[in-house]
Parts: sequence; C-alpha cells; structure tokens
Amino acid sequence: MSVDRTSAEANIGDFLEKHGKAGFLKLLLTNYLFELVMYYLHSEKNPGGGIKEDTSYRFYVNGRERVYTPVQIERFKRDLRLECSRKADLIVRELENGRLIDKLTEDFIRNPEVAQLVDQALESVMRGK
Amino acid sequence: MRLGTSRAAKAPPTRRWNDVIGTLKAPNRNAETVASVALSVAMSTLPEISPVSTPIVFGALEGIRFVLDVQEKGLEAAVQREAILISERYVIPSISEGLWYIVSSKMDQRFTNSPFGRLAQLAFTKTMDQVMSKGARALIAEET
Repeated sequence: MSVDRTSAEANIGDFLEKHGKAGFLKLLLTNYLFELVMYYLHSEKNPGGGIKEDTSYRFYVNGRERVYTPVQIERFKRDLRLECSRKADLIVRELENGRLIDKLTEDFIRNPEVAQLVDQALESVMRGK
Repeated sequence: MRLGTSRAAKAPPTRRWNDVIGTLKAPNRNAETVASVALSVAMSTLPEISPVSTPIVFGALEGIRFVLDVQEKGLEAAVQREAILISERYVIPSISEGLWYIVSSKMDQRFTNSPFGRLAQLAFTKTMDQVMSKGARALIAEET
C-alpha cells in the first residue's frame, strides 16, 4: 500500500473515532448547504418573477455600489460556511432525535416512511419551519 | 450573466427573492440572515424537497457505508469491493470520484443530472477528500 493509501485509511479511522457517523453527516451537509447557498447567491435576475437584480452582482458589490474587498468577501464566505455548519448540526440533531442515524442504510432509506422522516428533517431546517 | 464558461441560474421565480437581495445590500450584511433567508425563499419555490434531498441522502449512505467498510476491513478491501480504479498520482480524488460514480448509478438519472445532483457531487467529493486527507481535523476546522 502506498503512503497516500495508508494515510487515507488512517485518516478515515481517525475521523470516525473522534466524530463518528454523525460527524461525517455534519461535514457532508455543511458542504452541501454551502454549495446550495453559493449557487442561489450567484443567480441572475428573473424579470418574469419580478427580480430585477442579480444576486451574483450583489454578492460582490454593496448597496452603495462599492466593490467589497477580497478580504471582506472571503470573510463573508467564511461566515456563510459557519452558518451552514450550524444548520447542518441542527439537521443531524433532528436525525439523532428520530434515532435515524444508526439506521441509515440503503434498504432503510428505500422505506418511504423513513425517507419522508429524513426529508422532513432537511426541510424543517432549510425552510426554517 | 456570463461567469467564465458557466452560466448563472435564474433567481427563484418569486418576488420574495427581493428579500434576499435586501439582505445582501444591507450596510452590515449578516451571513446568518443572508443564508437563512436565501435557503428559505429558494426552498419555498420548490413543490417538494426530494430533488434537493435525494442526491445528498444517497451520497450520505454511500459515504458512511464506505468509511465503515474501511474501518472494518481496510482501504484496499473496501476499494476492491467497489471496484474503484485508483490513480496512483491522485489517490484521494480518484477514490472520491469513484465513490460518486457508484452513488450516481444508484439514483434516478433525473436527480444525478439536476443542478442539485451536481452540487451534491461537489459536496460529496469535497467531504471524502477532507476526511481522507485531514482525518478528525476536517470537522474541527469547520467549528472554529
């Protein structure tokens, strides 16, 4: 086994030992929520829907038409990511409260009732219900 | 608007999206408010959550199954079981990409090929890369 493979294996063991399956889910959901937020915050105007400004413009230019500095933009992205991490934590807690995390297997998720419970956990946090 | 070679998606078709623009234009824009309002408004325009949830749920299942397999049987056995081709030069990315290929093969292609499927792919491969390259530090870094 090459050094890289050895390191990868050791790192997976290290991660699971300290954070478990819940930690893996939290990291995955943080990354996903961040991608979703960045996707939506880089959308263009939609005159048919009554949206006359690009959020992809407003992400980089403030209300006084001044461009944010690279440091300000990086800080804002870091803060957005932190908020996504908080939301991911809430989703994982909802799944834990429903005792769903230990049962997350392919057969389990194909059960419509279970899939609905997982969807509800995501939806309640993402829609702010 | 052209952004390099890609094209930005249109804003969600609701006037409530102007609330998101308002949070971005605020003098001291607040990331918590921007993220919460953007997700809430965007999700409210979708008739159901499954196009958003399905790709990442399948990714979660495969990711968890794989890391537990590695913990129990070792990386070589886990990789062989999945028939993942590893590039010796790019070991970690090739495992992550190989795993996503398996995830996508288990899902309806309308989910895989959707914008949410592509975002889930980015999140999944990044997560696997982080776990395999940083170990426990991958999550600790998120919390600081």
